[in-house]
Amino acid sequence: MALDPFDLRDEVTRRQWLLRLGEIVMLAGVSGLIPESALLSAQENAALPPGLYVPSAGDLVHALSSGHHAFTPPAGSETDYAQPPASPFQPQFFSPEEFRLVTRVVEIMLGNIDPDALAQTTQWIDLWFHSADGARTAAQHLDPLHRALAIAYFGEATVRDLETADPAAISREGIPAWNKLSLEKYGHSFLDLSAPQQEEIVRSIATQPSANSSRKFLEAIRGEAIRGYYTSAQGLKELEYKGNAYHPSCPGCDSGQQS
Amino acid sequence: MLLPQRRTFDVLVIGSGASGGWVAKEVAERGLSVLMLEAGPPRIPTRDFTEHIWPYQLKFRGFGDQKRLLENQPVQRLCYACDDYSHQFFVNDLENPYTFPADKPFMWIRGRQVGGKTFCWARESYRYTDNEFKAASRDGYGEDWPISYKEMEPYYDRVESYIGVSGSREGLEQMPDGQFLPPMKLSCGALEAKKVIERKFGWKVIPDRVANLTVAHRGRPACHYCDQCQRGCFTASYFNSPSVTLPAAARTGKFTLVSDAVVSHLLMGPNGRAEGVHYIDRTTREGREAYARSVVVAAGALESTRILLNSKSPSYPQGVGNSNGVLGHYLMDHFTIEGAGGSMPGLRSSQREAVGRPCGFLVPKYVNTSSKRDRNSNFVRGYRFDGDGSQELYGHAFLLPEFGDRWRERVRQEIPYYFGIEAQGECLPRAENYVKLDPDKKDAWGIPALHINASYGENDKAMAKAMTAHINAILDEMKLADPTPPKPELSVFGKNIHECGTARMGDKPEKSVVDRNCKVHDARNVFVTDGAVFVTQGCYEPTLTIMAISMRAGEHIAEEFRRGEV
Repeated sequence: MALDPFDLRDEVTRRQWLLRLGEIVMLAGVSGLIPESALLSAQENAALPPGLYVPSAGDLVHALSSGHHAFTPPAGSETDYAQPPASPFQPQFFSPEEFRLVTRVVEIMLGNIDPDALAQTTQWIDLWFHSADGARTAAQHLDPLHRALAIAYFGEATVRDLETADPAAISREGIPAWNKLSLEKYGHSFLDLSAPQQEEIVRSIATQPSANSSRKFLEAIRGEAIRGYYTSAQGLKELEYKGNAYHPSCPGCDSGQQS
Repeated sequence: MLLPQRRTFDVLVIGSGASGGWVAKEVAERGLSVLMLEAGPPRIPTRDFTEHIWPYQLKFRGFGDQKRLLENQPVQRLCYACDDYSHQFFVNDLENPYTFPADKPFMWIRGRQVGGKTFCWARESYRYTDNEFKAASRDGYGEDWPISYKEMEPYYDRVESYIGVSGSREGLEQMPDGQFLPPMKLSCGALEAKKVIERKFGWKVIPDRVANLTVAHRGRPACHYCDQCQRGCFTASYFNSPSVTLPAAARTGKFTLVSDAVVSHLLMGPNGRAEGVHYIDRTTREGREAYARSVVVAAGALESTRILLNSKSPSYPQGVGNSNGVLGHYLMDHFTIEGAGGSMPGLRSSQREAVGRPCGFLVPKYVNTSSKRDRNSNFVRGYRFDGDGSQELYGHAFLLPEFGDRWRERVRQEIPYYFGIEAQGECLPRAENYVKLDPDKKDAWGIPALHINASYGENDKAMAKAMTAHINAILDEMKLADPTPPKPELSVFGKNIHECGTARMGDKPEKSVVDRNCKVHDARNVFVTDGAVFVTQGCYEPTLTIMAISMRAGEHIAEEFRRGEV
């Protein structure tokens, strides 16, 4: 029987793949076995015209490990990678006092979380408020055909929401309303209240009508706190997220008849 | 890259995606010299792939810079895959404009780079049969393809064997089995749907057939199930042309690739022959020419037709391939009925499941196939369903009241399971769905933009009603909690990125643009090999058929050279 040269290559490269990955995985601290075949050399990549490529174990392992180590964005990338924040962090949207209030509200909402995750979450909220104005302006200036297409795709209400979303106004009206309520109830602004008093204020605002400015601010912070926290490393770990990983076999249902 | 002065290649291929890659491979492996021109830049995996990047490594945490997307990619952003991680694989809409009537929105999703859209395609790979190739003979609507399943079967075999397609063998007449790698598993939600749908409707529920490797295949390792295919794949475990067909062409030593080469028009010589093309350097905006004995237009259905329409000369006043006025007409794209689903209380859990399977389930087409059981005389042709079930990641957190540690514990422990299903229907080819050159609008390189005029017809709308009714019946049988019915409207034209037609194939030159071998009827050495040549498109994804047709055309071109006909 004739040998299939591709099968032969798979067998040869399977050993290379295992050896190479075993080494790199240990160095990178990535858990899990990567028992797959086919490793072609970097020299072969170099021999191809730019834009063509061959499978690369090294690139895979580098990518798999990038979330666990300091990550340097590749030069020339069009991807908007996160940059390390200035230390101490300077909010772009909120004043320092407002940012302390936001931080305290997020602490109450999320409970006892890792300080780094808390910092990431509040910094995300600041970025979201900061960038909302530009997004709204861009939505208002869509080419008429692009707007017609967006309406066909999302529906008119969604497009109008995008054109009118004004988190800055929500913040501008919401934060004074929080402090007003705190003063009325306890005689001090929100940040000067005790922790139980602050929690009581948050609970009270959560039951107010949705059109109320305090409630609107709470909902805006809550929504972005959820998105910020559950996209942090700690939040994803807490969810026990089992994706973005190397799985040696196809994930699927083990409790039913597959065919 | 600058080409040597006045070198004439055997074959010039415009476009480096699924179609161009196959043509280049076939002709180069048969000893012909190939020049490939690609409008976009090369993608460098270590720079441009974002596989395994985490949301916290991105400035906008995976939600995208909305301002930038709205300003630069107001169309592309509508595509599910054009997100914070993958927007680089999609065009800048300001540089690449097109127009449409305001009451007929068209969503044109484009990827211009070495590899085209094969970086971010959904990889679904289904064969067409004579249900599609000979549909007109079956139901009296439109035209047949000039080729049959019997003729195409060996090409499907060869393409599948080469690229690797995972799938289950089902023995269905209307969706033949192929040269499959082992299938992927179904999710628990899909298994529940399988039980219900097979019992109630008598339809098979199977894993999607996808061009992802479930075992090592021809030097490429198996998929590692990260489900981030649209971000690029370092291990080349799904088919894309830069890691599969183009390296094969390059290894022949006969292949020259010029990226950032935006082709404007064909250079037509005397006697109906193309001498080459005029192109514009994407970055310097300089105009250049390239020459070949044979020209293959494989830039994607609408881009290819745009180039042909723009190839006007005294001998071709309406563009190459347009002596009969058919070029640009019979545009199709699948329509979908979407948004249906609900929770599966029985699968609610506190245990997190592994995720990463890059496919869902498929219910093949049954309506209006040869079986009498599922005939519907309200329309011709038919549809299929697809869907999947999965655990929520943190979407349920927005709905859970309260806050603090106890609330987070509930988010972690009370994991809902969501099931979704949609239907995809065959859009009929109609002459009134057409593209033409916009008289005013030009792209960033001064090339006339396309004007696209397309809407769904009465048959499509009648079919959509039946699709909606079937989805609702499936939702009822599934006994979902909080079921959401499908949206009443058909998807936006173009949304499914299966645009086909506008340079259709046929034996009759008065009714078609290319012949059975993809050669333009009114030009002696010009071929179109992508989705533009489709006569019908069934209800299945077109890419596997595009690849099979391209392989066949490449073989034919090489044979013409061998016989000295070029």
